[in-house]
Amino acid sequence: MSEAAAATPNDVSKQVLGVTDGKMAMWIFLGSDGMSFMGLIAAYIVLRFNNMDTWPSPAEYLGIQLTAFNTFILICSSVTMVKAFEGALANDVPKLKKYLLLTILGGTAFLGMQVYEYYHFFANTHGIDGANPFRIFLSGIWEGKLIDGAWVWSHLEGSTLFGSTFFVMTAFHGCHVFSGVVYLFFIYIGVCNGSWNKNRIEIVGLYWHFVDLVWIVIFTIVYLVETEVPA
Amino acid sequence: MSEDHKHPNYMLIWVVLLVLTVLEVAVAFFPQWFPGGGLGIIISTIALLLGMAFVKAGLVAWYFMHLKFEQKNFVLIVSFPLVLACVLVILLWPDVASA
Repeated sequence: MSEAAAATPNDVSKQVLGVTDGKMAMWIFLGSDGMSFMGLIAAYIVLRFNNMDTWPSPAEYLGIQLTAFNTFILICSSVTMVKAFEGALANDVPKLKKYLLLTILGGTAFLGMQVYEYYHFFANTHGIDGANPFRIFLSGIWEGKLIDGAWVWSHLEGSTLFGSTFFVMTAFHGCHVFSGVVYLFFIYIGVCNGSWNKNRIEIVGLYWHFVDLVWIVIFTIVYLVETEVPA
Repeated sequence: MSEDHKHPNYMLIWVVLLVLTVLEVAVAFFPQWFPGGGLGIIISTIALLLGMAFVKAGLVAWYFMHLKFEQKNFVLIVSFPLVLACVLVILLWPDVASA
């Protein structure tokens, strides 16, 4: 089965809309997944504009340089993914394997840096009145009514939204990257075993590029957009 | 389709994406470059950032996701969620105004 799968090109000329069923299914999934992301983004826009007075400046709390580098990594992994697909089209298995592995590495590096980022948000104690919104978010969840938490809440009304919206959006995206890495890993195993075809590589590529596309939007609106009027 | 389409210049698209990312970060770091004080700066930087993000997302979808090489009907179908997404944001806008 494996040789046959690798050897038979997918004849799409007679398919509806010129795409294979698998590709159509992935696009339908991406469409609905995009809607879920859009729900979060729309909620973020409403919450942020309704709390503009108390919304902290992202540049003050988020490591924009680190995340810009992370964005760079994700864009590069998207390019290695199209290179892998190029290898698949040319039946060039070593090229396909090399670039798939690089894509997996890129995704893993992205996740690693996101974990590093999260860790430092909680470890960091500087900021307004010696607290930061991430710690407030954390204390809101796990310490609830502790004196320290209550004190901070009264001073930074509204800014818990900053932490919760940040984590919901970036972690939802991070889960997608994680699934993508697992997905790519199994595709890579398949390529190693000789059980792969161009259509499958293209479909995993679609998912991976979508994750990159969503990150471009999230990076812009969560990290870069500034709503604090400069003095 | 995937058998006979020409490969776009992926490296060029990669460079464009990186340049746009650098420009975005520059806009976020140096808002004082923009004309108009206060609210004017906020509006112009948000418009510029969203515009660049839209171009980047478009490049990824058009070239990396091969929409360029699909049939027109298929492109129309898969871009419909984008329309719904815009409608969603517009419908939620009264929530911003009424707060």
